[in-house]
Amino acid sequence: MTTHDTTETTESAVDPSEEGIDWQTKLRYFLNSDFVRSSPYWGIPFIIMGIAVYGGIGYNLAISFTDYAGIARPSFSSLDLEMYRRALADESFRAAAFQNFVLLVGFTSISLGLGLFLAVLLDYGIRYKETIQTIYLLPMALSFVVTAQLWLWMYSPGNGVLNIFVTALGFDSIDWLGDPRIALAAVIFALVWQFSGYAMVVFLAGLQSLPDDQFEAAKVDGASTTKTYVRIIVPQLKQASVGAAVVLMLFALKAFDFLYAITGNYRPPNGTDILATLMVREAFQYGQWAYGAAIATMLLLLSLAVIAPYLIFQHRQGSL
Amino acid sequence: MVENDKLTNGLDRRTYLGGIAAGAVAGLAGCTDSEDDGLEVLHGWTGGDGAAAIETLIEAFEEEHSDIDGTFEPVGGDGNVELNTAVLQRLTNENPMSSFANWPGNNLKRYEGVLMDLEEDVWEAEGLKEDMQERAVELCTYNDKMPAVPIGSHRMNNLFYNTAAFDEAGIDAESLESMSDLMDALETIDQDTDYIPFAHGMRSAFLGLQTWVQILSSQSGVDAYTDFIEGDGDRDAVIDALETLREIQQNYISDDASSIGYTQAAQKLIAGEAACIHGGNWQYGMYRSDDYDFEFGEDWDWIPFPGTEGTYFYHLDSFVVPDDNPSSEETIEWQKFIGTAEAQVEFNNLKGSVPLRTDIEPDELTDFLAMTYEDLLDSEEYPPTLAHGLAVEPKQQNDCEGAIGDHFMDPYDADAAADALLDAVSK
Amino acid sequence: MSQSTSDTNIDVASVVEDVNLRRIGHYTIVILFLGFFLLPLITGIMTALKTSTAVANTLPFMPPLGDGFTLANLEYAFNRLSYAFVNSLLMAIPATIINVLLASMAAFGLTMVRWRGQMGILVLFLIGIFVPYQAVLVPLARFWNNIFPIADMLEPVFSVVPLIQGYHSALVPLIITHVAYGIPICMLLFRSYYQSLPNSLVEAAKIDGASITKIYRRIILPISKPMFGVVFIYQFTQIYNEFLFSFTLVTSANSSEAPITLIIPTIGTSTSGIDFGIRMAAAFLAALPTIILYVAFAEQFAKGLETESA
Repeated sequence: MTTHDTTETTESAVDPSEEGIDWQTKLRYFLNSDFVRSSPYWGIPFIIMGIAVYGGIGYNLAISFTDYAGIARPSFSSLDLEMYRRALADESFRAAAFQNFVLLVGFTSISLGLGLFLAVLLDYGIRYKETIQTIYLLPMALSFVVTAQLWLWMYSPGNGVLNIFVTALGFDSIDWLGDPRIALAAVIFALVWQFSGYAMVVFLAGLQSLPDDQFEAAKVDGASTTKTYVRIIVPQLKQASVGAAVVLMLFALKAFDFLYAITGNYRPPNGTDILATLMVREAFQYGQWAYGAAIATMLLLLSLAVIAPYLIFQHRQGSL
Repeated sequence: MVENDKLTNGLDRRTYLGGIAAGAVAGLAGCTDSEDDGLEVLHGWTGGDGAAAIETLIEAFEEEHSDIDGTFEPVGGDGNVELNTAVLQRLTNENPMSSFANWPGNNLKRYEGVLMDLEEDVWEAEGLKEDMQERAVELCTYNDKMPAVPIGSHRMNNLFYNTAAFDEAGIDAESLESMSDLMDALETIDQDTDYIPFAHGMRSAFLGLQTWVQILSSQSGVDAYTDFIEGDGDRDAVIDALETLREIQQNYISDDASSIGYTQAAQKLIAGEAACIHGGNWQYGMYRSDDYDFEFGEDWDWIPFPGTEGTYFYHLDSFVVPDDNPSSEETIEWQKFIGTAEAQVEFNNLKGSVPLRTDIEPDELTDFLAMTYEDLLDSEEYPPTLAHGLAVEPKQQNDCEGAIGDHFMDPYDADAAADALLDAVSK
Repeated sequence: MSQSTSDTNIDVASVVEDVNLRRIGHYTIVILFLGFFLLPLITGIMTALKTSTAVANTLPFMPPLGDGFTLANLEYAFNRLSYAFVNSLLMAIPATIINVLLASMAAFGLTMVRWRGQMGILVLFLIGIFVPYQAVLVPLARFWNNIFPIADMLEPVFSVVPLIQGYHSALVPLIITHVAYGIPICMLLFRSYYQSLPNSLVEAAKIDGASITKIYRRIILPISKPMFGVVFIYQFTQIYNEFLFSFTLVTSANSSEAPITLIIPTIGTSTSGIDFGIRMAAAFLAALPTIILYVAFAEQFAKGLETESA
């Protein structure tokens, strides 16, 4: 990255910190500095975003320390951690957190694996590659809400496609979304359908950026195609995998839309409750604003825990 | 009137802010003063018998008060979940409507502090305290205010059955006097016929909870139930009832039960797939709808839920009025109208519930409802319903539903469910 | 492959056979996955075109035949959704335009110009991408409803503006919300593009004494046209498809100002269950604008996704 070089050159040109320059000159330098002159460009979006994101998070945090519930306005006179204590002691919170974890890990790893497989499949000289890639990626263009409807129908216990296959194979029909033991797996499967194309695109881009001579070298060595991929190519996709994994996890954290749209109700199918659905239910259905805010804060911490290592990783690589 | 002062003293927020914006942006200040929000009523009767009943009620009201311009909005279904949420949102957003349909009693805790008192303007002005059943008067009183007027009561402890199914299995419904009688009958139907013995919907937890309440009262007596809602439940009785519920849910319900709701379950009786169903008697409103050829006394019949004869499990629908009302005068007219004999008869005849006024001639009601109405006036006990807001506070009710939803929707964990239930009502 | 033929130790015929088998296997897998990705979509579209009897009695993914074919579902869904469709566009188009402009400015200010402390601001933007919306939901509801009810304020103005209705003012807080939370990701998309531009471009202009504004207008804006397309398509899809903000700020799916995603989860529900014909027709209509955009601009769409994770 060229970041550092340019930073130094531009700054030294306007650096006002030398001794002996009076304050007017300093001010002039300052006002003419790139920082000030570029500030309208990044400043306005930053203020809008800052108020919404950080103001929102701060306000949410403040509410989570109160006992705000129901219709009356929140009172900030006595603040404590009661809501967090209540959440940790609450069984539905623990169940939601656990299912959230399963969804996060299951969905992300399966999507990554399938995405990598599809990318290799398409990367290895195939006709109509562009068209096929477009179709594999098509579900990405749909909203969670629409995907939920398609899969609600696929999973329908009566005449759904999956049960038609299952019964054709001689098994009993399965209540995919109704049985709490498999509902979460069914949800993960539907989400993988929607997003594995995304992982594929990221890996394809990664594969295409690798120099061709590596494939050639491997061929000269006599390595089989599979071996070439497993030993030489895949390890080089680390960067792409990390990026794709982070984005997929964020999709998983936003799975609220999907779960709500399946039942059209605050309570998702049994066994698929996650922190996002629990939070919205507590706050907006039951009016437990402070409790909902506390759950939201913990959800936020969870996503920060996901991305902090990523940002540090990126920073170390010098690609921030 | 008190409310008039309020209206003139405090401009309502919408008009005020609207004025500022219009004045500032378009120089139109003053044009918005004429904005009168009019009567706005929210209710949850979106389809079928409920929709027909509220339509009739609205027509009758508009006929009598042609000067009042009212909007009536149906919101959602599913045991008032969407309606309650919409009302909560609107009130939290300081954007109240004129009146909304809701359960009174403990349910009013949701709207604590923002309800209007109708005691003087409606209850006393109309003499409703004398005309309404005492129990309804009590339930419509909350924190020494009377913010609600009752419209109808459903009986909760019913068993509706398909006569053909019972005949085929050789069961005499009248002879079912206890929970174990019912379980035997379900077993017989399961063995001897192709009917689904017990129609049941498990998509949301409230029906499981409601059924559990009936089983508890049937097996261990109504006292066991009232002890429970007072936070003093007997754990063994609670578990016994859960075990029976498990037995029903594991053996006698349809395969798709976990993905269907209550109304779809009820359809199974009409469709001739199921032998019986438990539920409030809105079922009756549904079955007598013109869409189906399904006659009371012939195709289907009714008994009190076995083991609960002489008890009327009490449910109450009412219209509740928030404070800072956008249309106080019209709202009061509407609430007065709700209490009239005409409104109560017209609405309930279609809805399948019964009037709360004690001065209704039974022959103004349909046969089935006349029978229920007599039970309403003359039963031994009237325990309040748990799944419909009367027995406990909303938070406790939610926790009870959660107890069933989390631990008792297959896989079943009776111990955990019992602990969660007892814990829910003890707080 | 040409190398293997030159290798005399290997029998040519067996190589060809091996290659063919492999190819066949390869293409079979590709086609199976085409089926996997298309089946739910085809099932949905076919179901949307069937009468309820046909929905109940035919295989869901087979096309409707004879009597089983109907446009009634689409017609019903269209009538029910048309106003919501207008709402969605009235929300998504202005929000996307403002979003893209602000994001491009921010990326320019943070990429093309260097100054100390830039990294801190950048990280704050980046974290903004990863915030789950639940973490700001309660504040959002309180802010737009109790603290600053801009929808109520603007309603009288909106009701006298031609072509829009008073209730459309409820979309204003939604637009602002989408803009605010969309800036970080769009900024990132622009930034990765700007970083790929040669430094000399800006340096040369600076030496010529061009002001920052001039550099942005004369140099950056014209060359980032393709990127505007990419970001616009990406962000439009995001906002049009979004559910949670609308769900929080619009009280009910029955409201006149409800965007389309709010209505889909409950449409076609009746006492006898879900009418999947209607539900699929509605889902299909709701997805149509983004599908069209996607098919027409598949390349830009894919590019947006690639840079998102980079």
